[in-house]
Amino acid sequence: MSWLEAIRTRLRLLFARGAAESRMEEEIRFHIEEESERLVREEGLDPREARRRALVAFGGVEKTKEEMRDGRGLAWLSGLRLDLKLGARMILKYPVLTLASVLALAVAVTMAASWFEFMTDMVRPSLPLPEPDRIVQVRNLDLEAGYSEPRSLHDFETWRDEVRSIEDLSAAGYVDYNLIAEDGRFGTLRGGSITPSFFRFTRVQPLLGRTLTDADFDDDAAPAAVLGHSAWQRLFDGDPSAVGQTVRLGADFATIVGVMPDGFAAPVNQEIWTPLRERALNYARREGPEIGMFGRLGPGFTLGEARAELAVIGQRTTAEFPETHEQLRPDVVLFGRGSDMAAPAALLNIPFVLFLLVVSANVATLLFARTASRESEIALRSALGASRRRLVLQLIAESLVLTAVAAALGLAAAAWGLGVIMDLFWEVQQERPPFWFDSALSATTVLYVAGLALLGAVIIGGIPGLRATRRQLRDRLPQPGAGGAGMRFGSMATGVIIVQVALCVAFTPLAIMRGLELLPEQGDSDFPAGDFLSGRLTQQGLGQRAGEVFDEVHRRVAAEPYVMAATRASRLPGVNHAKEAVEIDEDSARIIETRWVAVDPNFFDVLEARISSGRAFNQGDVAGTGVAIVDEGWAEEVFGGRSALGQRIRYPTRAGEKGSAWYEIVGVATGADRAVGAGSPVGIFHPLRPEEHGSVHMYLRTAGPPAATAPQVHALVTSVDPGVGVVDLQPLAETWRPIQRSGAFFAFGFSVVALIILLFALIGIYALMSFIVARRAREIGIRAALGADPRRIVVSIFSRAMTQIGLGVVAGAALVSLTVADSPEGIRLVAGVALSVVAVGLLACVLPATRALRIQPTEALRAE
Amino acid sequence: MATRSHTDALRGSLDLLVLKTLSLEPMHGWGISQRVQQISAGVLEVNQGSLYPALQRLEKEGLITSDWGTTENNRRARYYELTGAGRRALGEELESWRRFSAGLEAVLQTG
Repeated sequence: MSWLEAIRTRLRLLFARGAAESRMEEEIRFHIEEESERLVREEGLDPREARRRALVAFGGVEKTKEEMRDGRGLAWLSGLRLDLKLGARMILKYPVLTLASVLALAVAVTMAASWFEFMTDMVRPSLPLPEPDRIVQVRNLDLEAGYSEPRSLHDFETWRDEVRSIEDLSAAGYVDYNLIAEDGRFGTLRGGSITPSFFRFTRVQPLLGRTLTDADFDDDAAPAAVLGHSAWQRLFDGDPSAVGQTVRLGADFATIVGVMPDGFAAPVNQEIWTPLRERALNYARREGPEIGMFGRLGPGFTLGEARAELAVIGQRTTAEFPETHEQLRPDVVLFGRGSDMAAPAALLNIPFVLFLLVVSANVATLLFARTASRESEIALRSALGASRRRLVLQLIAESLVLTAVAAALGLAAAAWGLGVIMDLFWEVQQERPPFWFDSALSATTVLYVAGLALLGAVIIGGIPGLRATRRQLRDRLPQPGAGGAGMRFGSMATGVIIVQVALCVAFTPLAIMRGLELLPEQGDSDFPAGDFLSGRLTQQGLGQRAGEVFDEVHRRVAAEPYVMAATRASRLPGVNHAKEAVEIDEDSARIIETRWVAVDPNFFDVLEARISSGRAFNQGDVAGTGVAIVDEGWAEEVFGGRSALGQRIRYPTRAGEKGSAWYEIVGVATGADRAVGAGSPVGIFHPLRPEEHGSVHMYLRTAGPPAATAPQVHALVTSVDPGVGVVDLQPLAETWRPIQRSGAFFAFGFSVVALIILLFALIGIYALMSFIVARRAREIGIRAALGADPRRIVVSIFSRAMTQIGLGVVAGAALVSLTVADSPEGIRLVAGVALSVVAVGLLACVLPATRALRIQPTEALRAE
Repeated sequence: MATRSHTDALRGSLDLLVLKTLSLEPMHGWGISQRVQQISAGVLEVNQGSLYPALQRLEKEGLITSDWGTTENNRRARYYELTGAGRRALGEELESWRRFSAGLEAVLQTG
């Protein structure tokens, strides 16, 4: 087993590095001593001469050692420990430079790691279910529309009966249930109405009671429901007697037959499960309830086989029902891993990697100064036989200490920050996270960061290393008498300083301003957000009647004595929602991304806004078409000083039509944004037609504290029609709070990053300036010794520094002038940053210059 | 391996000599250098130090192993020993060396 022996030897040599080193020393010492003794014995030399001869016969001892170190399998690894020690020593020797570099790298790592983790969680989640890699999702892709058709009950039944490669193929419809317990407690739960095989498919046992059995799906079976752990805790305080209770679910009653364990919320974030009793025969194809379909690959089947099997069935269906299924193709993916998402999501990591590379390159430049000052050490080792590769690897290993510390800090920051951000994210979305979502850092992310640290080290150590070892190093061995030739550092340093100053002046004010913009506007402090109750009306199965029922609910709620005013909107203003492209008729080339909301005619009155010109909406607008009211600020931005009234706008990208119809602006509203509060202003308002929207938001101004009226409102809403429910019923101030908090958090985060980068840039400038002045110490000392006027020397030092910094400031100001010229705040910021750069530059000259002036001439001459 | 450089050839012959030396008995570095110098007169003339990287290389290739031992003068020294693989490699090297020198002989005689 010679290879085994070889491997053992290699490993021994590799890991017993210290042992290998001392063994080498001992062997060579033994050899020299034996040889000396032999020479004394056989040739009668005196011991000193014998030793000299032995050394000559041996050849270069150090050279042999370097050769052996190089040859000691994976030399770079074996030398690593020494290099890391050197790296740690370097960190202690240049603490300021190190601190700045580590901080900047840590910021870059934090961002890269957070994003990577977030993307992994979103695109490649690991399901907390048995054998997660066998779980598939089946979709019905509409080739034309580019999304999957959720109304696939017909196809589901076909596939369930025919497909052999997928076991326990199950469907789940997504429903929101208003649950009212026996004791009157209530809550809105995300529910799943599921097919009989669903719990078999998940392979999860209930914590209490049972799951749904086939008998529960009979048409005459008593309605049963299974409760999720979180809902059980929230609404029943975790009381086991919840099982057996009959509760109201919307308009129906159901008996709770079981409770699922903590962490189970399949298929997404469900908290209650009921039987799906819908049958395909009651619906036309591509109609009926919206469902998701899930299953497990059968034993021995692969994803590819399942795809192939479904494709065949899909072709048959397409041929049979061309008018509905012409464009539909069945598709199977691993659950949670839509194959179309992974590649683009991976690409999204690139900007973060690039940012890290930029920071690394910057650190490399700063460290180049350090490397330059070590050139004689490098030259010496090279002369002693260390290969170039080994020297560069040493510098990389040293940098690895730096990047590893930064990576550890970055990971810690990401672990903390990501949890906070994700909690805010789901809070703002007003959604419970999917059950597989876990913002804790995964092993993959840690590996990714380790890779980034290595990459950073290669750049930070490699670039200066290659430069420093490039030329004939032996020429630069320190020679007595002649001053060190030195790397051509001066001109490069000048360039680096100018660029560094320019970037610092140009970009840190921008970053700071951006951070300030993110700070949430508190709205007008006199807006009584605390007097409002808000909630979202949802509907299930109302179909055409939705608008009618929503209107009836609104009438009934508004008539309650404790409701002073009531209005509705299609979306809750102030809660982040997407912008849409808007085209202006008079200038069709101009597309503006804007948020819009559809509102009741009394919206502006109730929210204490007013129509400053034009008119408000009236009931005729609700029935008719094509009008809009715009926000005053938006009108100002879009039309400048001209009146917005009579202008026409439309939405050119709306699906289904070649751009939407035109809307005429009939009014301009002032102060509507004060009700919007949280910093996502709405530009355009349209009349609300509730039937056009899946859900409608209510704003109720209540007589008493809004929270106290919530149960009454809830009871009233659900009594109007079994098909309507109300979600997120809470004081408006509470709805806004997470959004304001997230705004503040991001503004804080942004400012911290901007400040760290500014700090890094300033420290970098300081380090470079002081390094250059320190390098001139000898020249300064000699000039002082020769009687030069110290004032003139000082002037020459400072004028040079100021020229470099001045050029940088001018370049940076020119760069940034395009963006901040019209903002006095921006100009002040740029001026502030420029001043601090100049101050830091001066400070950087003072210390080394005074030190240089105090040098004794003899010392200055000896310095090299 | 088709074209062996001059150094490789030199290394090759040094390796061969080391293996040959160790095939007689385990030996420490200095001892090997003495023996090699006696039987080769030249290969190690340049410097004795070049023996050690060669020993390290052979050990890494698994042809020899080493362990601490005691010399006749009761001094600690690192002793090298041929492994099974080393013995086989020596056989092959010697074989090919013999073939090569026999071939050379034949060429020279016909010339």
